[in-house]
Amino acid sequence: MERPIPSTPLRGDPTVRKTEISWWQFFMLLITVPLSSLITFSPILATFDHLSRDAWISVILAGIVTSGMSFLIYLYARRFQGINLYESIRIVFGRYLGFVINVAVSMSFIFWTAATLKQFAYFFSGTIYTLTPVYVFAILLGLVSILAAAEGIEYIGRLGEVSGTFLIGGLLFYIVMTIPLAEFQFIRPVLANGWTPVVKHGYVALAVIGQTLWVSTLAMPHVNKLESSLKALLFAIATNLIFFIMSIILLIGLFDVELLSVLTFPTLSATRLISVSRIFERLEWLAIIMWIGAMGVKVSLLLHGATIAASTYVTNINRTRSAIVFGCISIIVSLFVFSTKHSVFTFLKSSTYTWASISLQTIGILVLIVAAVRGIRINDLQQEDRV
Amino acid sequence: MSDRTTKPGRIVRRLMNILFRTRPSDVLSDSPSSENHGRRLLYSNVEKNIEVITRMFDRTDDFVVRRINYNGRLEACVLFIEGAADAHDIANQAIEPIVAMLEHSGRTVDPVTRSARIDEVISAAKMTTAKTFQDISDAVVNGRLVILIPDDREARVAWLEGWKTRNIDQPTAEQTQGGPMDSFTEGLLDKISLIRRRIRSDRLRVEQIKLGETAHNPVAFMYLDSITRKEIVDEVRRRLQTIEIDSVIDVNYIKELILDEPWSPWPNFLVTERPDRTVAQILEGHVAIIIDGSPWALIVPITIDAFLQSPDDYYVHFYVSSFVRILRWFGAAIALLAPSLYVAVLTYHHELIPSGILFTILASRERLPLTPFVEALVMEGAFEILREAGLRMPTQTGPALSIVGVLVIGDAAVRAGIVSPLMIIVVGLTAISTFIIPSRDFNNVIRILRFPALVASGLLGLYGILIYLMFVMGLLLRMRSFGVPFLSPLIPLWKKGVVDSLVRGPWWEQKFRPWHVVKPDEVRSEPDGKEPAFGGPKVDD
Repeated sequence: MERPIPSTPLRGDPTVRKTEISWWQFFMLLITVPLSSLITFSPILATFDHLSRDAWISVILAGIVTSGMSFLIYLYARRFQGINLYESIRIVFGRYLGFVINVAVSMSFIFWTAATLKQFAYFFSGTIYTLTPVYVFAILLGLVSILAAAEGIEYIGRLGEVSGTFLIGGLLFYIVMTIPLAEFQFIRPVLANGWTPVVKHGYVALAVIGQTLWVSTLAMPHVNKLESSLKALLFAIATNLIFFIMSIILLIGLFDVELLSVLTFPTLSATRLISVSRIFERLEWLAIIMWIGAMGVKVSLLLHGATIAASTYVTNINRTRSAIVFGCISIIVSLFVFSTKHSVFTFLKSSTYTWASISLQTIGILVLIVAAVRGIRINDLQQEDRV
Repeated sequence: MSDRTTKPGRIVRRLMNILFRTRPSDVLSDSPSSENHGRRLLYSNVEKNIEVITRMFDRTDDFVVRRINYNGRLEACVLFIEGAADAHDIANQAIEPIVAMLEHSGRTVDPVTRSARIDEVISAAKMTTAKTFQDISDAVVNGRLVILIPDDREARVAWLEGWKTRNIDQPTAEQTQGGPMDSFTEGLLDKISLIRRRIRSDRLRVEQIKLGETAHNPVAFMYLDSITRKEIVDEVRRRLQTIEIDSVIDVNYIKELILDEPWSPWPNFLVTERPDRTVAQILEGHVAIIIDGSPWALIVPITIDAFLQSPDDYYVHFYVSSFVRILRWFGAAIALLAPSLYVAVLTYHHELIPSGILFTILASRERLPLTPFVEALVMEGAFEILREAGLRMPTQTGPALSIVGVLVIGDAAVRAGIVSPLMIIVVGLTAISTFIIPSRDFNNVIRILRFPALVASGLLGLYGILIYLMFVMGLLLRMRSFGVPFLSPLIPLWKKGVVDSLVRGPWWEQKFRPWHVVKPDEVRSEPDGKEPAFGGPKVDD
């Protein structure tokens, strides 16, 4: 008895091919990745050095800057539609310099994958399963991300749809349930210390909200209808801004700045205050559910970013194997980054976090600028190939 | 053994072959009873043909050879299998007319005239010819009547099948309160006719193939030409043709062989016994696979929402059906997770329970020897055993057994202090929730997946359930049915499809056929894109 080997002739949406995502999936990815930071470590609030009552204004400033930079990423995607980041770097910077930059970008993705895995692991081993070794959770999430990265960008897009839906639903529930408990006079007086602390705090806000930039750099060239991707991008930035601003105002209204500055996981603390008819209480697990899903998407996308480097240089490479190799490297690296929990919080300070984020978030813009200077456009190259 | 014949000897043998050979294909074997007789063309000698066929059906007591003689000479011979062919029709439509023709026209010497007259007098609705012994064998085992005529190298095949099939009855597994009340029977043609009765279109295609190396079971797949995507039809055809199996007794034999994800527990097919549901799926652009001998139809490709839909949804007001559909999703979630949530909350997350309720629960569990996890495992296991036993019991005793199991044993277990009353409530709720799921296949998956969820909750509490759900969701996201994402139209999201997915919108809102099986933006009413003529508000309004 022989079982026929099924082929998969269709990819569902007839307009979406294997390496493509729809604009809605792209939008969900853009929502999921930055909002994952909002739930637990919440760097915007955890960076104590510049925290003020005006943190929400910093978010608005960061949003404006991110929108401008996003438009540049859109121009980059238009110029290099259908090819991945590494291929565009190789085309723009040439064979040798391109290789060096690609190695650096790939290592950067591996570092961020490892760092995110470790943050996740510290959270679980520090707050829920205190007797379990840290690396267990890093390996668990690492395995999930390997599975997703092996399936490719389309699968991660669908993962983003699920996570994004839960994340938005959960956040709305959390916001609606905590509004009655907040004291909004805590956010006043506005701009009491002037613009300087607001702008300084805006750096780290930019690093968090600006995560949409590296997500766009990776995913936007794969959106099946590129003209819709700008709409998705701007809509996503606006949505993220709304959620960040509301969350920050709520947290300040719930705890005030002084208490907030000593809370490790302020959003979790806020969810503990929720009580539905005195029956459903202690709903921090709701926040954790949202967070785990979002972290799964974020790590998968980061690992995907590292994995596609292999397919750029090695033709006909097995995606599953390269995902396993890069995933294992990331897990191993995660064992060595952030040796203590304190080092995570040190990393989240604006001085380190912002600068560490810049490499990933601006690489697309850098490629765009050099390509514009050199007059390189992928469509022109394709036409030359045809000729 | 080497050929040691001398050269003149070989020449003589070749000459003999040429002289005595009638056709090239006739030299396939030397003996009529050899394995090659199937491909052999019929002889002009009817007695020799009868001899070969009789040997093919050696020791087959229901095989009938009826010689029709006139004036002591064989004029025709009919072959059939009793029970497979209709004896009454054979007598009325074949034998009687031939005998009457012979009596009327007298002895016919000219074989061509005789064959032509026999063709004229037989009144079967469909007549074909058979040229080889294999053709004759196929015709006979398929319940047809074969007529051998002397001096004619072609046998006549009259389609006079008389397979006994049961009458069309009410559905047993998919009962509804409204709509049509007929269901498929085992006969392939019966199923096709039930579908054709509802789709009177020349675009309804029926492609038949035979599966089963030994049993040669007829299998058909039906679809609407120019509506169903060609890739899907080609893929169904390809997968069916690739199957190598001894026999296909039920559609479930095919299912496992053509699944996209054979190791996934989730069903890739919708199995239905209802013609109306099959027709609705075909009209949407799906392909229906039916086989002879099974009263079920397989629908491909399929998405997860189909398993939580019932034909009844379309026979009641859309508010009601939307409400019931949402209820089914909740029911499925309860059926999957209720026992695990019970275990997780009582074992790890006491803080989630308000103190008043917590004290009541703790008081009820004070003297229980079992942990919540073991308690749930035992009770769920016992329930599954009772359920399975109830299915196998005779109809009269099945309900009695269920009552004994649920009421007597459950009550006794509580009184004996083995399980808590809350556990009985949870198991009961879970059991009732499983019955809200219309699809038996989907229900079975939920039943199976409940146990790993229980183990995950016993190990890690709510977070264990969460990790387990992530794993299940990962599988679902990965799954496809004939290339179509299993979670569509929800993931990837197709907004127009949600109207007939989580809820059922009014008919005038269901403008488009499902995007994954038809061309994009295919309007339901007309394939050329005309507006539907439902009389409801215009879609663009």
